[in-house]
Parts: sequence; structure tokens; C-alpha cells
Amino acid sequence: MVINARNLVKRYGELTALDHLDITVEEGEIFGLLGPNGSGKTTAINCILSLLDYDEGSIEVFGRPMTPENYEAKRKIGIVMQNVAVFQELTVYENIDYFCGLYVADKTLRRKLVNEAIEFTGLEDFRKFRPKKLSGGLLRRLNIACGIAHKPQLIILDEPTVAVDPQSRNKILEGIAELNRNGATVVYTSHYMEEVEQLCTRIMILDKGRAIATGTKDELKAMISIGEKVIVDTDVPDEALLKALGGIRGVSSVSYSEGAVTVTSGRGMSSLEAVLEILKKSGAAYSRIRTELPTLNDVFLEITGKGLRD
Amino acid sequence: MPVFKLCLKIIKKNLPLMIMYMAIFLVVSVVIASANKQNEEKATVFTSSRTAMAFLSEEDTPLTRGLKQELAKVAVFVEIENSDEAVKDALFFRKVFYALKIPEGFSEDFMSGKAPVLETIIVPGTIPAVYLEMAVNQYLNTARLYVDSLQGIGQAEVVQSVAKDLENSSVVVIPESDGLVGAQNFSSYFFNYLAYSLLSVLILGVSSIMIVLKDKDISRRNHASPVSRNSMTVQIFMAMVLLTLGAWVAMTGACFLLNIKGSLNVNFLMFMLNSFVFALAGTGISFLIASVIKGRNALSAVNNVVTLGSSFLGGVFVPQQFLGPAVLQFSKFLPTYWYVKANNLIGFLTVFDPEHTAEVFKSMGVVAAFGAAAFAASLILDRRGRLS
Repeated sequence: MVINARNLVKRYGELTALDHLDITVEEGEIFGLLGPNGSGKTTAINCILSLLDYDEGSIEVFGRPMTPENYEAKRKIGIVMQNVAVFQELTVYENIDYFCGLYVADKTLRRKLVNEAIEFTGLEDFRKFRPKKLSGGLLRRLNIACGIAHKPQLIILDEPTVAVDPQSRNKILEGIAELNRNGATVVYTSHYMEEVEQLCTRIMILDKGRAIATGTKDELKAMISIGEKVIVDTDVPDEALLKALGGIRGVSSVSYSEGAVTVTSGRGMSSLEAVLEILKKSGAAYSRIRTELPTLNDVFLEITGKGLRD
Repeated sequence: MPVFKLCLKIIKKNLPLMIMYMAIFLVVSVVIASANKQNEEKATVFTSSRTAMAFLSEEDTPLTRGLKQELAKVAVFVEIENSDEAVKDALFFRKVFYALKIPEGFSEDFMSGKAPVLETIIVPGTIPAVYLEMAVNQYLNTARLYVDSLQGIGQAEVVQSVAKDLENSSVVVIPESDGLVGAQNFSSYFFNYLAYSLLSVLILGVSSIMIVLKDKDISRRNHASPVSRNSMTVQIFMAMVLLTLGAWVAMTGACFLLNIKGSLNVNFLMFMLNSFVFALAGTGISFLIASVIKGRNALSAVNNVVTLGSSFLGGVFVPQQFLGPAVLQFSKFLPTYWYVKANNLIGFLTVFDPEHTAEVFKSMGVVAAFGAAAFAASLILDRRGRLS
């Protein structure tokens, strides 16, 4: 087990940031911490890294209690902070070299590792650039390069794609998947459910410092009562049509908003065929029909009664 | 030592600005120190001169002749008419600074034990007139001793005895006048101005490093690494010491090169020691400032307020003797005051035994205490910030 945190409690005065939280991360997995802003993701990471004291509980990393002095464990960890943490005074190469130098003393080996990190993050053309000359996406890539250059066994990425354009985001996610394929265990925090769903092999959903669900994405989706959704883009439908759709066997709810009727089935049920039949019979005009499987947002919504981005 | 190397790179990035500070300091301090040196040399070189006076005697006796002969050693006699109008004109136009009127019968009254009155008219507030007054009094007081002590003594004998007595004089040796006074003054002024520029450079350099390393995300990133806090502190401290040494060597070295003749003495070593203590204290103060300020924008403002403020109040730009008692009382809470005080004392030192150097070392000790207190305060602030 790479991380074994038990019964973590962290309080800031009256506010309980972590509420008896258990986190276990197995070797080789990409573990996702998903939750809205303020749910305790970064606090949990800071506690795991011993950057923050906690009030109750215990943390083991690589089988040993994690303390500020556990340099052996720290040496195996790569951290990519939520905010870009680089030096404006140094070039891209110098920045990566500095952070790599905190872990690797050998100059020759470090040069090799830094060059590999530059290549991995696609920063070859920007070696001599200072950070202020880089775009937001490139800065994020530099931030990642600084965190992974020393080839850590455990990589912790705290919302590494915040404020990044979709193209750079995809590159970052591909890179993280590759790091995992190369043998690194990854802990990935985000409030973007699509990213976590795409990347992570196991996910913990956090809310108000508590783990409200943990498992693979399929396991999480299996926890909730809803199944497939059929979404029909149409003008304002009449009451009779909505009533007919609601009467389909296995449908749990029918709603209309922003030019689309959403027909939600119960777990394991599909209603597409019946919806098409009713639309045909009623002669209602529609522009598009699509189906969606439940998302992690639905999981969060059903468990907490609110959306991930509320 | 990645943190040490990082600090050096940050210093290197800020080097142009630091060099600019030092260059401006060198130019300004050389100009001002040279100008002050010339003034000081004029003021400290002693040459005897005689004062113009009017000797208006209405009688010619051995006693008045003896007095005139004695006064001739310190005065030049100017012939003017013996009238109030003429005397006033001569004093007004500074033809004379002192007029002595001896009335008829003065000598006889004096020899008979009476206290005859001499009329003197002077240019008010002039030192030469005071000296002449003293010379006249000295002569007559000595003569009075003979008249009162030896009954029946004649005027000629009195004059002879007084002249003999007044021939005796003490030899006064001024040790500073061995040709080094001017050179030491150059160093004294130079090292005083050094307080401003050295502190500016140190605050700039130390704060630049600390602002970067204090950044919350950078700090977290560093502390997540396997480099211990102690190791980081030591590496940062080493970089600060190197910066301090570099700035100190550059500035004191410049003083040495610009004034080699005046630097080959114990005073210069004392100046160097004093400035080194001040440099270390400046590093502590810079640490404290870096702990308090929030960003680069504030750095320049705080730097100017601290360095200029302490320089003005501490006696760098305005000599301490010209500062008011209230200001001086306040200045004692500034290390610059004690540094300048020690410099001023060193400038006048000719004997280097414990008795004479005690005050200098006491001032250095106060400066060192300021530095240690600032350093301790910054560590406490750092610890509080870390815990919060």
C-alpha cells in the first residue's frame, strides 16, 4: 500500500476540514479525489505530505508513518501543486533543475532527468524561456515537469488543470496516464468529474471533509438509483407528452429545461425505444435525441442533493 | 546545495540594481568626503596670528611700557586718535578688535595698591578680543602679586619679574597633527555614508531572496522535498553571509583603494571592524524586513524609508552634534546611530588601549545586539507564520 491514511481529522477552529477520513492508495493505481471547492482535497494532500498538522488519525506512506522528517518517503514523492510554483528568476531548464536537485544530487544524472522531463512535457523549445514568457498551458506543463523530473514512485497532482485550455488539458491528462503506465502511482485531485472519470482507476468523492463514496467509476455509478437518460432537444412540450413519457415503464423522472426534455430511467433500465415511440405517436417536433449514462455528478447529486459545481 | 545555488541566482538577477546602488554611493561619498576633508584640514591646521589693537595710554611709565611689550607678542598695534569717535570707527571697520585706554595716574595708583580702572572697548563676540582681554588680565594680575607681596618694589622691577614669569610656557603636543587627520576624516565620512548604501544593498539582496522563498506555494513545494528545514535555513544563511561579505568587501575595499595613505593604520582597521559588525546587523534587519513585507512593490518603499530614515536620524547625512536632543534620544533606538557614533569616536582615536576604545566597542556591541534582536524577531515571525 502506498498511502494508508486512517481516521484523519483536521479542524480550523470551528470548521472541520477533514472529518474522520480514510484514504488508501494501492501501488500502480490512479486514485482520484473528486469534490467541489472546499471539500478538503488539498487539505488531505497537505496532511499526507506532512505540510500540515492534523488533529486525529494516522498516515503511512510507503509503509512508514509520514512525518516532516520522513525524508525517505519524501524522496519517492513528486508533487504538483494547485498553483504554479516556479521561480520567475530562473529559466524553464533552471526551474526543473532546481526542483530535481532537491531530490537528485548527482549532476550528470540530473541533467539526463531534466532533459527527459522537458521532452516529456513538450517544453523543448522553451528551455531558456523565463516563466513570465510562457502561456498558461505551458506554465502548467512546467509545473508538472518540476514535480516529476526526479522520476518519483508516487505522484500527487493537486488540480493540475485549473485554468488550462482544453488542448493543454488533454495533453496533461495523456501525460499523467503515461506516467502511470511507466510505473508511477498517481493521486489526482480535481473538481472536474470528466477528468477524474477519464483518468482514474479508483475514485473517492469528498464533501465537507468526508468521503461520501469510494470505488471505481462503475462501482460508484452502481451505487445510485438512476440509469440511462434520454435527452430530447425540443420546443416547450405539452403536458400530455410529458405525462406520456413519465408513464414509460422504469422511468423515474421526466423534466424540461433549457430546450431539452430529460427522461431518466431507473438503474439498469433503458427507455430510448419507448421514448421514440411516444414522440412518433404524438407528432412532437424535435431536433435531436441522445442518451447519456449516469455521470459522477449524478452520483454526487444523488448522495448529497447538490451538483459538484454548485 | 540547490537552495544555496538558487539564492545566488536570485542575487545575480538583482546584481545590476545593487551595483547601481554601490556606484552611486561611491561617487557621492567620495565627493562629499573629499570636500569635508579639505574643510577639516583647513580647520585643524594651527597657525598663530596677532590681533590688531589700539594701545591708548595717557602716561608713559615702566609699567605701561612693560604691558605694551608683553601685548606685542599677541597683538599688532594700530595707531589711532585717542577719542571715542575714532575708537568706535576703528572697531566698526575692523581696523582693530580691541582698544585699551590707560588713564593718567594708572601706574601710580596700581603701585600704591589701589584698583585703577582700565577702559577697554571691543568688537562684541570676537574671540581675538577675548584673548587680548585675557592677556591684559594675566599681565596685571601677575604684576599685582609682586606689588602686594614685596613692599616698596619699583615699577622696573615689577616689569622685569613679570616678563620673566610670562616667558614660561607649556609645550602642547597635538598627536593628531601627524598628517593623518585629513586621511582619517576621509575614512570617517566614507564609512558614515556606507551605513546608507550597505543597508540598502543588504535589504535589497536579502529581501529579494526571502520574498521568493517565502511564496506560499514555493515554500510548500520546498518543504515537501527531502531537504530538511534546517538544511534549507543553513543554505539560505550561507547565501546571505556571502552577499553580506561581498557587499562589505566591495565597499570597504573601495575606501581602501581611494585612500590608501589614510588606510594603513589602526583606525582604518577599527572602521572596518565597525562596518563589518554593522553589515551583520544589517543582514539581521534585512531578514526582519523580509519577514514583514508582503511583496516586491513594498520592498522599494520600505527600503527607502528604513535606510534614508535611519541615516538622517542616525547622523549619517547630518552630523550627530547638529541633531536636537529629542531626535538624538529617538536615534538611540536605531543601530545607525551607534554605528555612526563609533565611527566618529574611531576618527579621533590615537591611543588604542581598553580605556580609550571601550566606548567604541560598546557602540559596536549595541549594533550587534540590534542585529541579533532583528534576526531573532524574524525567526519568531517565520515560526509563527509556519504554524498558522
